Amino acid sequence: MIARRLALWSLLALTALAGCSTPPPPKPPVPRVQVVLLPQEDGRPTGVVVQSGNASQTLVEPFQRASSRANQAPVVDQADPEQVRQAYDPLFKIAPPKPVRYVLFFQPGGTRLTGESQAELPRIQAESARYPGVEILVVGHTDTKGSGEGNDTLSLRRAQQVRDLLVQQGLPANRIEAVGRGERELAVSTGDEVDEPRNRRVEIQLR
Amino acid sequence: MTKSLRSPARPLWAALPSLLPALLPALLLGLGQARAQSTSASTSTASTSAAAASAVRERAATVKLVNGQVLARGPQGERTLNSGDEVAASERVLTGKGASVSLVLRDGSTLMLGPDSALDLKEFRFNPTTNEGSLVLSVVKGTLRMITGLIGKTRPESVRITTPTSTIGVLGTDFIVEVSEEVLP
Repeated sequence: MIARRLALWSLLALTALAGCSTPPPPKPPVPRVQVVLLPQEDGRPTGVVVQSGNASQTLVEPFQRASSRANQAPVVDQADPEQVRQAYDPLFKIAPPKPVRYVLFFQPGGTRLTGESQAELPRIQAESARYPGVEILVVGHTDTKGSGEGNDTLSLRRAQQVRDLLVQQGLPANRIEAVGRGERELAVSTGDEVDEPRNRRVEIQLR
Repeated sequence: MTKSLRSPARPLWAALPSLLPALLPALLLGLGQARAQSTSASTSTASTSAAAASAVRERAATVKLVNGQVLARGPQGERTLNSGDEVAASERVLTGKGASVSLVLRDGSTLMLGPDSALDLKEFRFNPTTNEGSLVLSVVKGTLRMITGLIGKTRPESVRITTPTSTIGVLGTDFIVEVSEEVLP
């Protein structure tokens, strides 16, 4: 009887000791997410909504930061701009150059560029070297002379003509996209059947 | 400075432009719930379209600057990414230690991925005529900076970024997401 009681006590003591001396098992790491709103250069309204743990927070001021853990509401504070730039330096360094836009003009009715626009092609080619993995979007437009359908075709032919010229300049054909928008997006609004040189154009975006 | 999104039912219409950022969350909350229910459906759609695209990889994004080891992993396996390469929807982009990469999606959205990061292009649809589409990205780990493009301009609620803990909705904007791990005390 005594022996049994002793055994029981020593077992309890051991368990208590074990509880004290063994460190608790390490907790597994858990995900943590931070979202930082950056200032917008063109002044458009900006905002980010962060939703977690059945709650959400909206960031509207530059450098506001939302931190969230699984199943918990996001917590918002204000980050220091300089610290953000340093902490996320690779994200700023790897930014691609800003897209650049050119407009080329055509002689009436067809796909012949004006002399001035023709002379711009080498400049576009030279500029494209600044864009790693360059893409070229070529969007053709017409004035309001002729039918809408005819102008769809003409605007596309203009874009394709410019694409061919850019390929001749040495730009990669598989990364040039030619699109025609007909007379839908006039640069200068006019009535129908108006010969307007500024609407006979192709807009080129390098990015 | 921050606005709680819990009380969306206010007469906002008069001052719509200035209140748009406040309104957006309510919109996104509703959408988020609707989407949560349709997640399985959209996943299967994504894998079907990936299979269809296996003959010709459909371009969702073009790689711009590359610094260090950057990979794309998809149904067709793994490949190293270089400037000018194309990345398809359903692919994962991975950066090594000290590496980084920038990509531009077809709608003009710019993605910058920092070191030791993984980003899934879960869904990308874009119609260049209407500028409509949908974009779902998942930041698995590491850092992403995103400048949203035309889809975000036309229809902000069609752009969504998911992380292990949260969902992020945007309104034409520039921001950073960081996914890290921590051990709680």
